[in-house]
Amino acid sequence: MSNAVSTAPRTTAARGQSEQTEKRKAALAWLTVPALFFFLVFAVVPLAGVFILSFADWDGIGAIGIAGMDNWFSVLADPGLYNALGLTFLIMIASWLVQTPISLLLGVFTAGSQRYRAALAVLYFLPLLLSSAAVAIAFKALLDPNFGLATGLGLPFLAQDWLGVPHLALGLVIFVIAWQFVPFHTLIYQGGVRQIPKSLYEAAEIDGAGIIKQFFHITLPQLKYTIITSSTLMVVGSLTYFDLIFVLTGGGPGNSTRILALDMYLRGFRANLMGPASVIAVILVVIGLALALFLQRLGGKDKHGSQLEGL
Amino acid sequence: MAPIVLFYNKELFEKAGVQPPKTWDDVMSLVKTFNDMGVAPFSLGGQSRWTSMMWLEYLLDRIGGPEVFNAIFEGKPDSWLDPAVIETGTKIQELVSAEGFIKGFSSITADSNADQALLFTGKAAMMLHGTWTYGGMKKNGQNFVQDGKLGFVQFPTVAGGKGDPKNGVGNPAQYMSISTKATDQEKESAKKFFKDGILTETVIDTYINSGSVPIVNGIEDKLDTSEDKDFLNFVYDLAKNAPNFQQSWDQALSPTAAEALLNNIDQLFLKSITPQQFAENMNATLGK
Repeated sequence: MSNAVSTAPRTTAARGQSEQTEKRKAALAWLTVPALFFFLVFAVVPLAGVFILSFADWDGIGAIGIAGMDNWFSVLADPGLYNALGLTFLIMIASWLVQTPISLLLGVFTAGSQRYRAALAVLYFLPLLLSSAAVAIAFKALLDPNFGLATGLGLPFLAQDWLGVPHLALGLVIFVIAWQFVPFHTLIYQGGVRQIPKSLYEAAEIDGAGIIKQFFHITLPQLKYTIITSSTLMVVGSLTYFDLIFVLTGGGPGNSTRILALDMYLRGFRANLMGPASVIAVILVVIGLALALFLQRLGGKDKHGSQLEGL
Repeated sequence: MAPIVLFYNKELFEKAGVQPPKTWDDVMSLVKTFNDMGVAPFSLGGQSRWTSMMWLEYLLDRIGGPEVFNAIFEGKPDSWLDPAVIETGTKIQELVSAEGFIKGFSSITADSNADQALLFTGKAAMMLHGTWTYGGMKKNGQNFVQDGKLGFVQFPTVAGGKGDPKNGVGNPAQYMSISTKATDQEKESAKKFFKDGILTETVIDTYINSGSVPIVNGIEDKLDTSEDKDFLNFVYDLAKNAPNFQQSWDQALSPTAAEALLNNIDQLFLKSITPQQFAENMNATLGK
C-alpha cells in the first residue's frame, strides 16, 4: 500500500500534490487500525500471556502460582526437549526436501493450458480440502496391519508395523504431511509459473533451448521468490504440524514422533503442566521468528527490485 | 461395573485342545501353542497405550498384591521401585519377546475396535480387555457372541505372587465419582442422586440390554432373565466377590503422572526401556 503511494511523487511534482499525498497517507493509516487491533488481541496479547505463564505454576484449572525460573530449568534440563527439537528439524528438512521438488514439478505441469492438465489439477487439489484429523484417521485405518490396504488389495508388503517401528512411523508422518500439503504448494507454483512472460520462452526457443534448458534457465530463476515464499510457509508451517501427528501417532511409538508442538500440547493439556508447556511455546515462537527472518534474508537485499528488467 | 477380563476364542481353544490359562506358566505355554498354530496368542491395540496398561495393572496385583499400587497412589517415597514393579515389567517384556502379542500390535488402535475384531475373526486367540467390549463384539462379531464362541475368565495367577486371584481391576463405578472435597451432607445428596436420579429402572435395564452390569446390588433376578446372563453374572460375581477392585491407573493417578505412565508403558512394550528404567522414570513422577 505505502509503496504505491510513495512512488507517486517521484515525478517532479508540484507542492500541492505532495501535500495531498501527506493527507492521503494519514487517512490510509487509519485503515490499518482494525488489522492492528486484531493483531494485538490475537497475537501480541496471547504471546505476552504465554511468556508470563512460562514463569508460573499452573495446572490449567486451579490457582496460578509463581514458579520463577523453575519451569525453564526443568524443561531445558529435560532430554525430551532435545529429542523433540531434533525431530522437529528432521521433519522440517525432510518435508522440504520431499515437498519442494514434487510441488514445483506439479506446479509447472498444471500451469500448462491443456484441458487434461486442468482436470488433473483439480484432482491434485483434493487432499487440501480434507481436515488433518480425517486424513490421519483414514491413513491409520488404511495401514492397519490386519484389516488395512495390505489385506484388501493383497499387497503383503504394506502390512508393516507402521506405527510401531520408530523410523517407519517417522517416514509415514513425513509422507502423510507431504500428501496433504503438496497440493497447496503446487497451487503456489502454478500461479508463479503463469506469471512468467511467454516472450522469455519464445526467445529461448528461437535461440534453440530445449524444454529442460528452458526449465533451468527461465522457469527456475523466475520462480526465485515463489520458491522462497513456499519454503517459508513449509518451514515455519512445519513448526505447527500438530493435529495430523497427534491423531496419527500421538507422538509414538515411544517418543519417536513427538515433535515440539505436540510435546507442548501433551505437557500442557494431558499432563496439566501449563508452565513447562508455555516454556516450549516461547521456544517455538523464537524458532519460528528466527527461521522466517532467515528465509526473508535469503531473498537478498534487492527483494523489491524487478525480475523483469528489460522486458 | 466394568472390570478387565480375559476374553478368549472358544473355537480356537477347542481346535488346539487346550484350556484357558489359570497361571502365568499356562499363559507362556499357550503362547507357544498358538504361535505354532499360526494364530496370534493375544490381540492388543497397543497404539492406544491404556490397553497395554491393563496388563500391568493385573500383573502387579497378582505379583505384589494391591498394597504396591496403593503405596504408589498415596505417593510414598520410592514406591515405584518395589521389586514387584520390576518383575511385572520383566514378565511383560518376556511375553513381548515370546511374540505373545499379535505382530504389529503397536499399529493397532482400540478406537477402531480392531483389537476386538482380531479376536472374533479368529486371528487372535485371547484378549485382555474391559467388559465394555462385550456389547461391541456382540454387535459386530456376526453371531460370534450369540453362538457362544466367546469365552471369558479371570486374569491368571502368578506363581509365588501375593495378590488374591479374585482381585479385579478396571473401572469400578461407570465413571461416576464424588469429590473428596465435598461436605458429608453434599456427599449424601450426591449418593442419593446417583441412586434415584441416575440409576433408575430404565437406566438399569438399558445397561443390562447393552451387555453391561450397572453398579447396583441385588439385580441377580434381572441379570438371570437377560440373554447375556452367563457373561453378566460372571461380571457381577467378579465385582461382588473381589476383595480388592483397583481403579484404572491412568484415572487413579494425577494427569501429570498418568501421561508419564502411558508414555513409559509404550516404551516398555517396545522394549526401548528396561523394567528398571521404567520403575525409575515412574518413581520420578511421585508427588507430581
